Amino acid sequence: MITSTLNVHFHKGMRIITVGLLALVTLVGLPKATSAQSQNDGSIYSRFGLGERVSFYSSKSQAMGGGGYALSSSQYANFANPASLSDQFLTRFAGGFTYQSINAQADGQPQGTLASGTLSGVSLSFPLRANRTGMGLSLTPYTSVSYRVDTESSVVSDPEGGVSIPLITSFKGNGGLYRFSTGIGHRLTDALTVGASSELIFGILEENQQTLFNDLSFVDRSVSKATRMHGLTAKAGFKFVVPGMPDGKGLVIGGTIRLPKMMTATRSQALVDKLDRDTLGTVIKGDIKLPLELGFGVAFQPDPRWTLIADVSFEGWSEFESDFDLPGYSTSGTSNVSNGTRISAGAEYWPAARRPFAPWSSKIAYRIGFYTDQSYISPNVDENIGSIGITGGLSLPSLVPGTTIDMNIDVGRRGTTSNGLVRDRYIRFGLNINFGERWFERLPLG
Amino acid sequence: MPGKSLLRSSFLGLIAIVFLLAGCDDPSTVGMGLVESQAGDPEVSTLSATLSNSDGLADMTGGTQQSGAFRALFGQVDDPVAGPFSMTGVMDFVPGSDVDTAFKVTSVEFAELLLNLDYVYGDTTLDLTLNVYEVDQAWDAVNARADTFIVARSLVTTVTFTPEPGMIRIELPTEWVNDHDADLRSDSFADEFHGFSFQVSDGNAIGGIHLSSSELRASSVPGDTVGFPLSKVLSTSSLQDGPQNSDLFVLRDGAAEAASLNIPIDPDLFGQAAIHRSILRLDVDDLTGLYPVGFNRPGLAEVGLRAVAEDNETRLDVLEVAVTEDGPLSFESDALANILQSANLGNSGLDRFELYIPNESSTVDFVAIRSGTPQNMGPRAIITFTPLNR
Repeated sequence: MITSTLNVHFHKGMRIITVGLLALVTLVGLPKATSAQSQNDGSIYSRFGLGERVSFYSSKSQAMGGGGYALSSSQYANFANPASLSDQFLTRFAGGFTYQSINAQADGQPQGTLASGTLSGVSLSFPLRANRTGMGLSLTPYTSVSYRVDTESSVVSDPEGGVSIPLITSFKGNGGLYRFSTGIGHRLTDALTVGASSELIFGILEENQQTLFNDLSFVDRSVSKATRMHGLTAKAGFKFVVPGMPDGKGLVIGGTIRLPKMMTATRSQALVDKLDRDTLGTVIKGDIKLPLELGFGVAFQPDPRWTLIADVSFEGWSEFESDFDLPGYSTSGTSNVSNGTRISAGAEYWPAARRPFAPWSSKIAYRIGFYTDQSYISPNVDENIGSIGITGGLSLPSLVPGTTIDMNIDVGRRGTTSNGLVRDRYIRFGLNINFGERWFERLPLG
Repeated sequence: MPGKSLLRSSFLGLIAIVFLLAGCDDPSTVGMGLVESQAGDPEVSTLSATLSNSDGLADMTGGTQQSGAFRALFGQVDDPVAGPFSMTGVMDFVPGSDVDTAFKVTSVEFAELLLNLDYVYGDTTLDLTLNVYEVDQAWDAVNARADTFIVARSLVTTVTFTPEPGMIRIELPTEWVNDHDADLRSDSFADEFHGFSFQVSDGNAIGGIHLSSSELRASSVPGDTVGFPLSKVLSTSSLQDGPQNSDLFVLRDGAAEAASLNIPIDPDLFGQAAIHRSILRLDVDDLTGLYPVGFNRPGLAEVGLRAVAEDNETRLDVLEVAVTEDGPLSFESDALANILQSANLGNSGLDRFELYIPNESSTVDFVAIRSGTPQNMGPRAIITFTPLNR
């Protein structure tokens, strides 16, 4: 009895710690994620278009190559496909960070190393009817703008004195678009599950050029251009369990479609110094069209311990339209935008599948994956920017049932050094907390 | 439970790595070729500034024992470079502490002015003939400027003296003493008497009477002399002809004109820019060899620059710089750069700049600034800027 009481207190304590850590992650990460000021140490490719495309559907998906359109899991809310939200019997709150280090190379220039930490995403999901109908809310990055390039030069500021003054011109970009998704999934039959979500896409893309003098005679000023946009779009998805599979095996196919959307946008330019911010000209209004997105995936379980997935996605960026010039896109007709594609695959090994009383070490899930993609935009019309990478991760169970702490890694490269471009080699570490608990339980009376 | 410690250490380790490394960076030039400027590269441009006389704010030449100018300047001079210039000095007195009851009960028999001449500009070899007038109405010295009009019609006396620093004694006529006997002994002397105006009718110099050690002295009976110290001063001038040499702009202390200076920084002329540094440079001619022997021309110590708003009322003193013998006047400060920046963006309402002589000067000294274009060392603004919208 005493042991039982201690266990209850211990579990409660762990739960508080877990929720506390999750809250810390959210509180620390969210301001960084939503601020347009804090980060500019990512890839130079994030400068182009609306920024570098980012997807985070769940920490499990992240470790398995980043797909998951057919992935089913009662332990994760999978936002890749709103139909997957039906697979829930616990209320879940999840969030995480990603730390990224990039080594950038270009012909004839010394290597540069940049590092940053950002919010991967936060989500809340809960069952309306356990394992039949579920809802989910998530806030995740959609694009990311995060770069900084410094160049040194000099200027003879007083021609009569003839002294050359060194200066640094720092080009920075930060911000990005975020996706706030509200979705619902419902199992129509044992084989067919459907889902839909509304997605509010919003954010700020900011470009900044700062001129810095190491001389008190000069006033450091920067020119800042901010493009704000928002729009509401919809996504629909399905999952289908292929019938007739042998006992112990399962095959699921899934797909999603997200409709194109015209977003409302404004652009302003300002001159900034340490004391003041002056708006330049007037705020310009316009529209930016987000393209159609299609996703298709397969998930296969040869036995309960193994899950294999493969996914492909397509984004029709060739139909992209904007009333504003963007890096790589000109309203006058010159455009380096093309359709974006992504292919990924991954595997999970979970020794404790269907063994609820397995030892702790057996409850660790091991994940691995790979992906390759072609970016929707390139600095050079003759050169597509592609990425290739491998992913991996561990999911560590906690003492709170239904709660895991996931550590992921993503190692890859992007771009090329030919045609004056840059090759990024990056490594990303993801730390995610996935908290699950039964809520809204009906207490027995009497 | 072995997993518990593993979990805890792994988790805390990763947290530490994330937070420690998130701030590390090594910004580089990699990718420079992929970043075209949203603005241009920093440039330097030398703009021709225009310097002219205008009917703006005249020099502040009024002062009291507490503040403002400290000399009454009077005289006329034909400067070989700057041309003719004249000033009228106005001064007023208040009863001193020794004006007591004993003085007030007996008629005033004698009165004189004892004036501390501590400034002379011009030809010191010629005598000055000075007409002393009585001021007809009350006047205010606080914040009074060189273009103030003072009515003084009653000639009191005329004296001639050599314009050299030292005490000047001017005996007031018996007729004037008799007329002002009651005033001098009245408790309301300050209301009844408004001072003297000094105007020179002959000579080629301008003198300055210092507020200190100058007084009106009066005697009732021999041996009982009391003092009325100089309490306030004002120097007035009228608009003058330009300098003899058109290549020079004369910036003179005590002048009724303002020296306006325009810098073509507005976006229509210059384009929008981020201004990092502004130097306003005015070359000063030392005028060596242009003055005859005996012509005294003290030098100015400082020149100030202020911004004037479009309402022609709001003024902001930007900075004051020292006048050196061998260098140009060079105005440079963050404040100047910020004013020009706001003007360039059309946010400031800046109309022009003005040059001024600080109040502490109280002279008629001048500097001769080279006119013309920057190529021949005329007034110029050297702007370091980043062009916008290129």
